[in-house]
Amino acid sequence: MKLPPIKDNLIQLSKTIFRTRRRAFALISGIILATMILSGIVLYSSVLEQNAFRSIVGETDFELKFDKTNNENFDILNDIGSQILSDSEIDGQIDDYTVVAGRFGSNSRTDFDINLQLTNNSDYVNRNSRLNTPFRPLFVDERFFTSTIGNSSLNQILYEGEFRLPNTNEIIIPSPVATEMGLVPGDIINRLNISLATQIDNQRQLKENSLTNVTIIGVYDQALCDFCEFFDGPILDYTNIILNYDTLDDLYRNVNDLMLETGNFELLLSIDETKFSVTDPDNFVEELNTLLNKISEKFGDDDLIGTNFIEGAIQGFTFFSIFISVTYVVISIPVIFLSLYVLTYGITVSLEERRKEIAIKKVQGGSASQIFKEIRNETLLIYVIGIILGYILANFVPFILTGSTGFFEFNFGTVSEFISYVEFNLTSLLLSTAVVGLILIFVINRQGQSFIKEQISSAINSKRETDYGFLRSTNLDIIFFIIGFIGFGISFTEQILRIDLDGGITLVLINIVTPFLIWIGGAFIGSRIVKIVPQFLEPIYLRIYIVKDIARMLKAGLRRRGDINKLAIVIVLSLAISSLAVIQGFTDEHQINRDLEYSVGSDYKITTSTATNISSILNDIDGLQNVQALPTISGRILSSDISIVGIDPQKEIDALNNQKPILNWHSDTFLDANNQMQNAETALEILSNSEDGIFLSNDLFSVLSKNVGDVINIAVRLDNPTINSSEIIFQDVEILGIINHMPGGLSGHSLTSHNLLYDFVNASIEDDDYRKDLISANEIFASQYQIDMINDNPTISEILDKKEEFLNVTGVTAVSSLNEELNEVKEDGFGFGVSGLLTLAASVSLVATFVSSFAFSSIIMERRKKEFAVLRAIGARKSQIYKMALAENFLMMLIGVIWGTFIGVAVAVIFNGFFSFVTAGILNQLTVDRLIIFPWQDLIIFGTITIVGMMTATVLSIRNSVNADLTVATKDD
Amino acid sequence: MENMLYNYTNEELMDQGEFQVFGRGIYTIYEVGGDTPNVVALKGLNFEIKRGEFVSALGPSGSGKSSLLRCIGGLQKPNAGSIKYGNLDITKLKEEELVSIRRNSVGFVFQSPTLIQHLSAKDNVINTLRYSGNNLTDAKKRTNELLDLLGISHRGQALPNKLSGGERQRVGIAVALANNPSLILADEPTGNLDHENTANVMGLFQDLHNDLDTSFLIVTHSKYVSTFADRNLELLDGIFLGQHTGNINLDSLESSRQILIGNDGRLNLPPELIGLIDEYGSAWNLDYIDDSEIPEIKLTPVNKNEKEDNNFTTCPLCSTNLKPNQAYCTNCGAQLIN
Repeated sequence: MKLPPIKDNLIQLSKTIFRTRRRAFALISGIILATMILSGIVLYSSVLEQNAFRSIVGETDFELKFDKTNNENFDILNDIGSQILSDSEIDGQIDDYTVVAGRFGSNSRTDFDINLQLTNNSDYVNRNSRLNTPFRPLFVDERFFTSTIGNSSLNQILYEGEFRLPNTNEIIIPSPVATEMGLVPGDIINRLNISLATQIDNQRQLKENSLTNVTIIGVYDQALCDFCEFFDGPILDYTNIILNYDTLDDLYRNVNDLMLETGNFELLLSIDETKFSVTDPDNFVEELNTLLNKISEKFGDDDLIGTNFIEGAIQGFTFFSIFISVTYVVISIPVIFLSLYVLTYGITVSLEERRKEIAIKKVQGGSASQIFKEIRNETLLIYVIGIILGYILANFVPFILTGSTGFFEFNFGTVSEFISYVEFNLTSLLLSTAVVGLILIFVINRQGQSFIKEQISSAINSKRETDYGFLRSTNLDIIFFIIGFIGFGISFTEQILRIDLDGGITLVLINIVTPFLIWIGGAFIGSRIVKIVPQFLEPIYLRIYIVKDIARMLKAGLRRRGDINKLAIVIVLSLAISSLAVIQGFTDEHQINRDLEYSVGSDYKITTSTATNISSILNDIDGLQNVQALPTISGRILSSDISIVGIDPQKEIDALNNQKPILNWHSDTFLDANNQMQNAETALEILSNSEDGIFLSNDLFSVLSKNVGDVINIAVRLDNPTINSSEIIFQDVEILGIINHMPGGLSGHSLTSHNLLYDFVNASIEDDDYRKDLISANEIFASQYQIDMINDNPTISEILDKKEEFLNVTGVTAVSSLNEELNEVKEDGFGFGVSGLLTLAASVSLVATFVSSFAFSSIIMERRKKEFAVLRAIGARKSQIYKMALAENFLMMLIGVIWGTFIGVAVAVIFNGFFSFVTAGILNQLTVDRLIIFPWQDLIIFGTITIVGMMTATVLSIRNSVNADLTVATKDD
Repeated sequence: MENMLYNYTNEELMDQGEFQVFGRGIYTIYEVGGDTPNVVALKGLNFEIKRGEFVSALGPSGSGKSSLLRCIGGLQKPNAGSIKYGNLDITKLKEEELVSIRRNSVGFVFQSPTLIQHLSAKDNVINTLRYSGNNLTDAKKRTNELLDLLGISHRGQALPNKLSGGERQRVGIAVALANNPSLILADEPTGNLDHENTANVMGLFQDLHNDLDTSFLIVTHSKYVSTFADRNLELLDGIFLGQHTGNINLDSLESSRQILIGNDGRLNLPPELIGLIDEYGSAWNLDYIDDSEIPEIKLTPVNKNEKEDNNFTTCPLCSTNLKPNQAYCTNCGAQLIN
């Protein structure tokens, strides 16, 4: 058997790669780019998942729960907890434990109910009638307050009073109860009724008991919990009144007999996170389940049943996580496609470079398999190096993206934080290795074999047949473009002209499909345009003073450039992506701010549990500039139920005149009858001047078939649970316009003035004490107040201090701060994920154009080395040759950039619907219309950077050719 | 695997008879595209090169010399005809099968040596030897011998673009000679060389021819090179017009031209004679007169009334536009009258 024709040792291969570094660059840059993108997106997805999962784990007060099926009681579970904590086999995996009772009792056949009584029965508060969730007692012992679990709960809530329950006649209550009953820590409740329902032998038995003179020892606010929907929430939620376990024992001496059913007592365990794979959800769950079984086996007689709380969280979270990942992948499709196109372009260019070499090798006696093996080995080495470099770069992606706080805005962490992002993720590595590898194999097999099989004579003579690609040769690119352009027209009509075409599901499909069609079709058409348009522009272009001295050379050059198809495609694809990224990046960043501005409504949004008048109290708070109460009432117009919110328009107008509006008005907050945006100040003037006018919500306006200026009758109905609802009809209320979204998160509300709202309430107030609560001394009672602060940029501690101050106002149950929420979004790495991805897309597209230009120009200019030498031999200066090459490329690149930008704008307009769907429907709960922003200045900057980058690549690549030794360059190769 | 399947050895190909290589009815047509007629580079050529024969091909640019060379070397497939190495018709071979021919039987020398630019002079030769299965030690040894023989061993490590024209040509020859081919096909091998280098190269060829009985087909414009040939074939517009032996006056080839009658019975008249007689397509009566020591062929014009008409307006073979009743295609020579 013959020895292999070439001993493929690394040194020889490296030498070859170094000597053929132009083609190696074309290939390796494509591999690096594709690997970086593919692995980077997977890593980013994984980091987001880990971060979110870490947050979930951080938010859970406990991870494991145990119930005993037999003889479950407080003491036994406490004893087991104590044993677990000191057990050597558990090896410190359990950080702490606590035992609680009653929290989950409603799920079993034993149930508690609780109510509170003050001095007389009229102040009896039946929580069930006012809140959807019934109160339940949570019985804890003293250990709870010192345990990690109790303190973890405390850390997540706003707490007032002492965090302990040493005596049986003391309780901790949630803030809604405290607000409603006007209770503060230290107050005493006359009576607290606890009923215990049991079901024995299918007979429901109710045992009622009471505590008297109960002291409120603490008040807690609901825990802030971003991921509570994924698990059973924190211990301290609004449904619990916390009592000492001894209370239970005192009241029901035989409590253990009554509460035999599993689930009335729970042993809660918190883990030491450092001993688990917290960031690897699957492994983490497995480790916890192993621990559960170990504990069950060791500390129970087959009657200790453990529950893994994290597992439940994961199931919900996994869906959320997959959805986000898929969304991010969809958003990244263009840039993935671009990187893969640059990869195939790099491989093709690299193989093109080999074409003649392959023919020579055949002349030298090389067989197809020998030549292919050489190509394969060289490519393999470059592939391995490219994958490694690409993967290293990919590790920067999640670090950069999670630090994104807007389009090209970052909040970078430290080096050590970056190191924490570096990870070896097998999936991300395998994905890029497989995808890049398969493309390499496919292209090299197809193209390499075609070169190998090619007639030697035509390869040696370098006769090239232009490969226009499948799309262009079948004219599918034109069809794609036309369909895409129709999609653009529809989206433009909908979004820019704001004409509703009632597209429904068709519009959604158009938003998803046509951007890709116009992008790909446009790119291939671009390869036609960059060749045709210069010929039209040639007479003008050649007259430009700066190229006059090379006009004849340039003319020939412009006509000859038939080798630019693929580069033109890359330019258009890239520019389209960067333009899309710039437009949607700014739009997304703007949208996040708009959404928060809308949901919070002003600097602070204050919510009270019931309608109240706290304007004067709020106004006394230091640093506060203005307060706008937002009272709301319910009503009806014809068959449509409506919600009406009232404001003081004059106050807003004055504030607007001072450039400091209280509410966050947007350009599209108000619309006219034609759905066109209306200036907020104008709309407020109209409201202020109208005595009985109303801005209808968008949805309502569209179903009423009325015009602006028409009058309507409004039936006002005030919710009062104590009496039957009745309606007062107000006639001839004028429609002033449309309110698209009301600041303060009041979605679907119509807007009127305080005056008219006051009239509505006042007119319907007769003989109704409850309604009297809504107005007092001609002031409106509201359950939402919007506050404008003097200091626009408070620090976090100032925000939190002020929040605390607002929460201390009687009746206030929740305070939102715009700045705080914005900071949270910036820090959690989620909210600006799309902006970050678009930043990545823009950066990659810039790099792709630069790399492709450099690779392309390097090879083309190397081919033209002899031409340049001949020109120099006949008297051309080097500067003229530079000028000629640059002028040839400039015109082509300029046309490519302009066309690419246009395609990008079109894609951005169509994609806006998709982004809207993603950001509104998936990532945010509360959102307003996604207004597309065209940052023309930035688009021009990006286009210019691209051209400058490509021209730099041209200069760098022709340097060698222009400076080549004339005697060497004029030789035939 | 293909090495084992199609490994035609030099000996096998040489032992097939008197001829090293011979071709019959070789046509090569290049499609130009558009409205331009196709270019017929070779118009049904017949030729033979005997073993150990030194043949040169003369002719102006565009006469089809290089096409002929590429077809004989298996670098290009003719559109019609056969080229046989002994009994082996290489026009019927697949690309993989041609590897063995190129590797073992034929060495190519081009006017501009086709060297791999990123390999040194030495590596280019080694590469060729390694392709044919030599181990590295043997390949290096043989390379050193060849570079010594060609007087360029001191430039072995230089890349091709750092070599002078003469040096590059000698490396190209070293590559061609690496596997001891039995036929050297050289396309203007001295075209880029000065007189001294030309003499060296041709001396080397002569030695190979004499010592190893290597056959040569050299395409040349050089009278000096042609003097080395046993016979010089004159190629014009894709057909062999004649042959020359001994001293040739390149400025007046007609003075030494011997008209050839091919195996297909075709006789090509030289252009100066055609110019004297009539337009293409005219018909002539042929008489063979054998009544003296030297037989004669007599051509007399046919009475125009006796001429047969044809309806061809374009050549059915090469699509060239024709004059009415033209008997032969002026481009490809196809006969148009039955």
